[in-house]
Amino acid sequence: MNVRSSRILVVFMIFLTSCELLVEVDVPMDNANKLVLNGLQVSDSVWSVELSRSNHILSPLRENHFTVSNATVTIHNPDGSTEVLNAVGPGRYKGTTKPIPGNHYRITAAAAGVEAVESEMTMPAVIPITKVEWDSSNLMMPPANSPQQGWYINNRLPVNITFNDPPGERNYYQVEAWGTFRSRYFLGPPPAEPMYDTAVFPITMYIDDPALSFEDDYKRRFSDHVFDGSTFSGAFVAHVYSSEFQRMIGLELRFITISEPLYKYMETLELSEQASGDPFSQPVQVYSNVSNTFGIFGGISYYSKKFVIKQP
Amino acid sequence: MRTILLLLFLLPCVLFAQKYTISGYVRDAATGESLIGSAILSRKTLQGTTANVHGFYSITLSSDSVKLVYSYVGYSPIELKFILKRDTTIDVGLENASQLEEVVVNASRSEEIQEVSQMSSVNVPIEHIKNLPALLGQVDVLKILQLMPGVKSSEGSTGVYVRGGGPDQNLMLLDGVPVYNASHLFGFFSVFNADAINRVELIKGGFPARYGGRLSSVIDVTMKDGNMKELHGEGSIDIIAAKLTVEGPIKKDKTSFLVSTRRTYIDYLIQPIVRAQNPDARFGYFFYDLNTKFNHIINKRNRIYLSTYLGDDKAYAREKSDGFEDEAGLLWGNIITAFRWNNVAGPRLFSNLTATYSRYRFNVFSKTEGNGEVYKTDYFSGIRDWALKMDYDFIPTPNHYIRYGVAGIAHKFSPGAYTYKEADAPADTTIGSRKVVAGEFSAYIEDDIKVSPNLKVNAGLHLSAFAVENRWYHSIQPRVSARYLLSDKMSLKASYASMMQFIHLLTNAGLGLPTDLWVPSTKDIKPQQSRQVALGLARNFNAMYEVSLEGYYKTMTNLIDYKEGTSFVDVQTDWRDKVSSSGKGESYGAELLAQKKVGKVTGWVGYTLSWTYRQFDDLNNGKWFPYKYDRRHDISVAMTHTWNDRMDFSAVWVYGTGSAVTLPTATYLAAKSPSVFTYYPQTVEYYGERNSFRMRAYHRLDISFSFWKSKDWGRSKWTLAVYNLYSRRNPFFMELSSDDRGNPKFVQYSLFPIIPSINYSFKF
Repeated sequence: MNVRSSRILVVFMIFLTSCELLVEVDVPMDNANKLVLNGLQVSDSVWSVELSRSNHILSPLRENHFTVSNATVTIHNPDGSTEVLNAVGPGRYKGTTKPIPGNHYRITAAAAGVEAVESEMTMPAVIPITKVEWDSSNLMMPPANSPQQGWYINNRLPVNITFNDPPGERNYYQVEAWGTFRSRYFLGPPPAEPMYDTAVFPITMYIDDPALSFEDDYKRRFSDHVFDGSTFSGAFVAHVYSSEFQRMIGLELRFITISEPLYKYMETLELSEQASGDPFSQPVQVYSNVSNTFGIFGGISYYSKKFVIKQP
Repeated sequence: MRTILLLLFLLPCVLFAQKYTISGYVRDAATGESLIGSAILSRKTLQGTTANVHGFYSITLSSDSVKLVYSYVGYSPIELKFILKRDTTIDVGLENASQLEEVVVNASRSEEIQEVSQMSSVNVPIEHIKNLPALLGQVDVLKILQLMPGVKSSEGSTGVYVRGGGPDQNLMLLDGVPVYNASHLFGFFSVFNADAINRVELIKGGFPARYGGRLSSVIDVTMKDGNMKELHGEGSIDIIAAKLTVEGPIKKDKTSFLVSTRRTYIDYLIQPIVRAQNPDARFGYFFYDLNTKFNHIINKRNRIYLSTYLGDDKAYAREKSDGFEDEAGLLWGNIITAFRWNNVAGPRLFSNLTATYSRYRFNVFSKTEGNGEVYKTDYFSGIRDWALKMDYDFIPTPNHYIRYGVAGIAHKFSPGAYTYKEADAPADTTIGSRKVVAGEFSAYIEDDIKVSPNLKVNAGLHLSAFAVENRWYHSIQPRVSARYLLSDKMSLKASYASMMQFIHLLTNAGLGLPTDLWVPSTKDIKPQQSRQVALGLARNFNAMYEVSLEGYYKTMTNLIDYKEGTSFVDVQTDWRDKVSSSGKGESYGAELLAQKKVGKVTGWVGYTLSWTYRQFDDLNNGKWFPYKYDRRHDISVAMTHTWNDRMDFSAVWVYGTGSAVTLPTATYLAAKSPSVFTYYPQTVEYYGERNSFRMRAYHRLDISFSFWKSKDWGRSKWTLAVYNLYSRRNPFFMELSSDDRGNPKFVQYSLFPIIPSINYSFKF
């Protein structure tokens, strides 16, 4: 629904909503002051965890989440060994080792005054991309000798990615693209020689495959439920401005695998954000795999493939 | 030996006793209107029957002297005595008792509550509906039905939730044609114009086999046929709308017509205010509806009807600024057409052929035009039906009333497509769903059997099938209901009904907004099914009071609901992406209804004690949760007191346990996003179990006084009404907000405070 039409609907609802009344609701304290564990692991980084406390919904401080710095956070490795993470800042804990893709880990956290919590997850395996193809021939480029400095047409750069999905398990993926762009500048007035610099920026990239997503719904993440265990070749689209494409000299594709709990957490968290402020949306319960409390213990692993783009 | 010889002598007399059939129509003597459900009783044999929905009756009796009594509530009965020697056709016209006795509608017998095998059914005389207080003076059939036990609603809305069912599970029929969206003004009024209606029946359980396609209720609305005798009319004007109904003969006793129309004028009333704010702006809303009906008696055996309904709601805004003209709006409405052909194929066989067309559409549009540029967006959803139905009533003996028939419906669903168009763009952009075509077929047979003087059983079978996307669904739905007379005034009733529903309504379950989408079962979304058992007692006191007490248990499967986080205002997402399917439901409860249909004081008291729950694998962590309309207690009291021929008083009081609602209970810090491509909020609100909180209880008192005056040309009436007399702030929805000091608090929003209204109506 466009903005104007939504406005009409809302105006009518307001017109009909003649009065509001503050009401006392007896909300139990059960979910206040719980230890919240957020541990998002990346395969090439050391263990990292954040701890905080939940607030009662009617607390005046409900937006201020107190961090928990005096906790003991322990990683339980598959071989039975453990690693206690070090406090490195308010509510922040880091380890010295990195999670290994494919291994199953358990985490426990305990602090004074709150109930201890625990969770577990399997670090997702790295899945390599076997083939990447893209076609820039249909990009709308500025005409030769165009007086315009650049074209800001949002072009769709079709990218086809092939990989082998491991059979017998549900896998979750996301594709990210990063462009290396060259920019030209002058240190002085003409006839100063041009100088060149490079910078890396993210490129918006969506699924463009009807098997995974309806057209134009701008989805990034997907699961293997329609191609489990087979070689998948799927269409994606990178949105690149023509003028930017002309400056792009490199492209890095990151093929990310996501642990199932993290995938569920990301999906529900984003839905909750979309539903926020819309009284007609169905409320969203954000997923958590931490026992008796809130938060997430999950991981991502990624395979990176870099390409050099030769500009004319 | 002598006894045996006597029996042998009498046997042929018994076996070959001639039986003949008396058949015909029962109508209002003054208007020719069919008196649906009127009772025909043989005084001598105590055998009886009732007139069907077209007023036709048939009773087969032994050749003998016959004393037949024809009766109907509010009408003076007629008794006929004659010798039955052959099949006989008798058309009877009953005199309206209120015309004879001016004011008080006296008791006269129709088939009484304890005698019928049908249970869980409510039939409210349309005159009673018209007498009760109404929001803004707009008499509404659905809002009166909401006052019945087992029926729940939300504030001001015409949405109907029967025995824990959803709003899509009601088969709303207008002259036999399904009405897909029965709401005007965002659900605050229904499309049924009481002036054009002859009869309303609500069935909540024990569904006869002739009905199918919905799980929870049948709301069967029959339009008036049109006065066959003389030209009559009625109309009214109130603070938001005016309506006019005219009916009369085109050819006396042969052909009649009825035209009834209604339109709101809120748009005209608010225009001066809008223009005072911005002379270049227009903003408004209106709805209208138009009912027409023609009926023609071809001969004694054949009669045809053509009825139509046409109604739209439109909200619009137009504004000019900086050389651009913006226009946007919402439009929704129904078109319903039915052609019916009644044929008396024989004294015991009546047939009705119905051909119908029905269309519901919803459209949100916007257009910006100026400087040679045009931008246009459209969101469209709708459903079209073409149907053909053949029904037969076969009454071989007074102990059997057999109905059978077949039907076929072609559905065309357009469940939401969004298009964007620019003047210079090479092509339209269309997002959303594709159209779906489906076929629905059904056949039924049922028999109302008088097994013994005490036991009456209605047993039947409804078969249905649905073809969609190269997939067939089919079902066999057994139905049975029975009554056993414990005494001549009291009976025990029981029923079982299995139902299947092939189409679903994606609704926000609260407002009855036009954005609700009708969607078909698909290869992934299965048809909804229900099974319901009910047990009850029915008692009649002095032919004045009727009391029924019923308990029921209902299970539902393959229900659908919006997924968490989806919004019904998000029209750009395909409905299949918003749906959580394969839901289960369970409802049970008890209902008490005490009704007084005749006398100076008429009305009823209803009480419902009920529970209803839902379960979806991907909602509420797969756990069962209370349905939004799970309300433990519901009470309704409705009464009309007729003082004299010039004044009457009506009052309605309702009470309901607060609706179930989901509220956040805690906040916590979100994880930092692992990707620059994804924004994560800092704070997450934690919602407990779905619908685990209750809003405040709902209660309200409405009253009205009506003052009648006789005129040379007819009668006029002034009605003064007050909705929500003590201005109870009833909850509509709740959200988290803050008080004056910034402390978080829940805020309840209410719709209607005390609303007085005045209405002038006339009848000629």
